[in-house]
Amino acid sequence: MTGTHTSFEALGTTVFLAVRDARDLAQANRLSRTVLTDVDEVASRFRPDSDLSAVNREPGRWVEVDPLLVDAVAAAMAAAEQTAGLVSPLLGRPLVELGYDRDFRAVVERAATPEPVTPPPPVDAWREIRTDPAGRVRIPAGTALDLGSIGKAWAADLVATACEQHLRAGAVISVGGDLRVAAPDGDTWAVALSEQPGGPVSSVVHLDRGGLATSSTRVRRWGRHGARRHHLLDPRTGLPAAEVWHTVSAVGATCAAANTASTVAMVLGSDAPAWLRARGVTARLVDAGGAVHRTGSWPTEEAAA
Amino acid sequence: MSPQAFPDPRPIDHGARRRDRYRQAVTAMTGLAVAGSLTATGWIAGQAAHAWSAQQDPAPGTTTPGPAAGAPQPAAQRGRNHPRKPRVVVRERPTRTRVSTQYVTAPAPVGGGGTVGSTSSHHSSPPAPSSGS
Repeated sequence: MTGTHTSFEALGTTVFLAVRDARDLAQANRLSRTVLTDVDEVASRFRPDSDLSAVNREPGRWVEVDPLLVDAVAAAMAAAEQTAGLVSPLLGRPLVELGYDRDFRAVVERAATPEPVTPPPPVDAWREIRTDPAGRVRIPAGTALDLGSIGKAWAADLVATACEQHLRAGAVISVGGDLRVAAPDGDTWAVALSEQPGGPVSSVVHLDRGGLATSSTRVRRWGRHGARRHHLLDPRTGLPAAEVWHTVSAVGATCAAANTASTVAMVLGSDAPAWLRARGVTARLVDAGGAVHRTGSWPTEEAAA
Repeated sequence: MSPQAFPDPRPIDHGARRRDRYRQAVTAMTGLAVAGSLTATGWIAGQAAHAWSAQQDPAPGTTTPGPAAGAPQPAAQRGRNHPRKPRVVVRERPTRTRVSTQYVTAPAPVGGGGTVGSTSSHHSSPPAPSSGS
């Protein structure tokens, strides 16, 4: 393996990895694949043999799991805490009832996707989740975990932590568009923003450290009774959030923090800019009409794609 | 001379002996059945108590979210609210601790983070993609 960057498929999406020192690429590649394989095996909602699926089969009871899943659930609970439950880890059942019940590459158009028959769990139901660092999780009865809101961002943070421990120099990892800088060295990494993976790049910015995440209602869409649905649910209704924003990109100290900000912005709709400004979040929001809004120190002059 | 030294002159009553053995057998079986019933009842009650306990009490060292988690509580009250009882844990299969568990990422609050600029200070690799996914 030569050069300073590579790409591969993991977690049902594309992973991009770049390193400062070309000698680190092979090691970074191995680390990334190992970590992401572990994440997939413990935290996938679409694998019946995952630890998360075991928890979902026994809501209301303690289930023994890999400690890695405990960490993932803790990250999801931190996101819920910071957003008053608007970024919720307990939307597994509404997502299934809306038809998102398998890896998205296998979700097909279904003319008769079942209507949601059960209301979503209360917005504060996540507070009833219990975790044991030794390797146990219990979710409230009648609920199901889905870490799709935070999972890839948390995985990017995990890979970055691994890279910081084992590489000679800095690196950047993007897991399905959720990006984290490892071992920041004062120089910047170029970041190409787009609505969906492989889609047209809308702008290029440069990031020196931390994480950057983008959420979009333009991806993971499927048909339901002739209407287009997307995967970003509003926990207050259990239905896809209103499409006030097509895309929100935000930065944070970690990719999980950045992803929390971008996801809650999609759910909050028109209230998002005020929420982001109140918390000092630097973000770029593209509304349904294509107009760009900015908060914090997001540059007004972006490099053309 | 004690009376026991003389053999019983009456003929042996095989019917009465059989009856006695039958009564002893019935008594023994009844005793076993009662003991078994009590054991089963106790086991079922114990399982129910454990299941209830598991639903009510967090395990020692578990995390409890929200402000209530950090609220101080008198030790006596803690004892009343969270009696130490065995818990039921579902274990469908052996689990192994993965290598990735050693990489711990501390949660960070939203806000802050890196600086986003429009100019580059380094050129080495193509831009990293950030998109909805």
